[in-house]
Amino acid sequence: MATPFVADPFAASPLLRGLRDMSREALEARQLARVQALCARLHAKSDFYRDRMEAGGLKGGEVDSLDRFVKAMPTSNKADFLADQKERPPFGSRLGVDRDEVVHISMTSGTSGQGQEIYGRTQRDVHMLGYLHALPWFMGGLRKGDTALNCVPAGGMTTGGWGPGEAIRIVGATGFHVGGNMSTEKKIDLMLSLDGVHFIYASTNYMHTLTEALLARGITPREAFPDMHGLFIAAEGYPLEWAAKIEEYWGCRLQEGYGSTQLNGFGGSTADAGVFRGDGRGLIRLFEWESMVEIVDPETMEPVKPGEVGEMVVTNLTVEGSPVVRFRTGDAARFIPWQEAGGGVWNAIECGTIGRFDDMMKIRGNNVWPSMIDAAVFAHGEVGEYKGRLYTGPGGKTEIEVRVAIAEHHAKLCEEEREKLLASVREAIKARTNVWMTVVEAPRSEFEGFAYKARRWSDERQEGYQL
Amino acid sequence: MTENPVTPARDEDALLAQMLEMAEQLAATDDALLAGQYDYLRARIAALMEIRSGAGLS
Repeated sequence: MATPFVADPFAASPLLRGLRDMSREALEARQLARVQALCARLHAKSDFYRDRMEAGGLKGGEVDSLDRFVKAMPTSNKADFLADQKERPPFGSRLGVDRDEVVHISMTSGTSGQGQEIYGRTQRDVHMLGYLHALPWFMGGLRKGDTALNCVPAGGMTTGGWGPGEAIRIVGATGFHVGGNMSTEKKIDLMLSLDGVHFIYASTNYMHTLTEALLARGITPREAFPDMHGLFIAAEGYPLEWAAKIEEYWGCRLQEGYGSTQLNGFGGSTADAGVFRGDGRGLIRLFEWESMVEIVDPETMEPVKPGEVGEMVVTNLTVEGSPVVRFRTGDAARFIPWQEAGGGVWNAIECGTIGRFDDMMKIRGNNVWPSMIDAAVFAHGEVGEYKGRLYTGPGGKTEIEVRVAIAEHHAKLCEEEREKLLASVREAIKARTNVWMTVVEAPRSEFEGFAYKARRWSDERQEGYQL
Repeated sequence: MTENPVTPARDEDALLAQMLEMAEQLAATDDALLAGQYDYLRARIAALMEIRSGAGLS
């Protein structure tokens, strides 16, 4: 595993040093002050949240402790927001600021099929949107004067569409926003013409695609881009074997962040430490002075124990327009308390394994997350991409087909090597999920739409229930 | 009540000039995380001054 040097962001920023060196008591005091201000404002200006505070016993929006806040303030979820928006379009009654203060719109992507949440943001929120991307990227190596490649589609009405542009600008770097408007081959041509690239932001899946395409052209990234000092991924899980290969190919440390529309950017990142901790998975340290993140058992809503997986429930501490207060994200993460995070007082979650509770597949009695299969498949460097399908076979039995494409830079594998690879992938999936799946080879051309957020799994089981 | 001897337009110019001077001081910070943000603030003030000068207001 490569662990190249990353310029110490804490040495370069007294602000960051202050955040790193504060006591847990001081951090929680800051959180409480911000929660109190948030609740007082929303009690005055938001019917949605006023009703919830009153129902939970926070009369007048008064909060006297964080403990009381998490016990009394009811949670909200996507369905609550969509119902509120339907009743009071377009922003619902949770906006929390005057309508004429809204200068920017963020919407969720709608991939869940339930509908899109809409968030109205103020001028200050737009700066914070940029800052909440700039903060993790600065810690991950981005600096003034750098050339940065943003591989996430820019613009539109998503948080990820605007945050990167604002972030790169306020760091003082030069941003090339190539996501969604340029083929991978054209991106590579551009990168080679830039006289140095220092930072790349991409989804996990696209970092894979870009690396694979470079290798297929016979280009070794670390040789072609020797000045690279920051690779930053988000959105999808990955195996550590893959991360090690990415670091080796690029000669650069890989960093990861956890972000969302609800967080108005990133809520935590690996800072400068990378995605490894020793030989194991690294930590995403949470920016707890910007957002409160509870990690709870989704059934009991009690905090999970250290090392357990729970649902992240978030509260914005610095957002003006459409803030979320104890919002159930549906995102699943392994909780690492600050005392076990190896320095500092920021709670953390494990890298590379963030999933969705609603993505969990029940297969022959086993709870299987796509990230488990991602880890098994992409531990094989010869694999370029894959997709899976659940369907009902003869006799009503659940069948699972995994279609694997060989990476272009391994296209010369012979028949015997391909068979061995497919067998190894099958064994690895069984080891991680306890389920035997059928693994077959598919042409790489089947996967051309997999660029930003890969949705690799389809569940067609109900279609097989025909009489 | 004493009448303000400075016209509103001149007052805005003076405020912007003061803000620019302060933003330039901020942009000289030794905090690399904030330096770009202060420079962004300085540039927005400078742009507003430029916009006003184009209309002959300053």
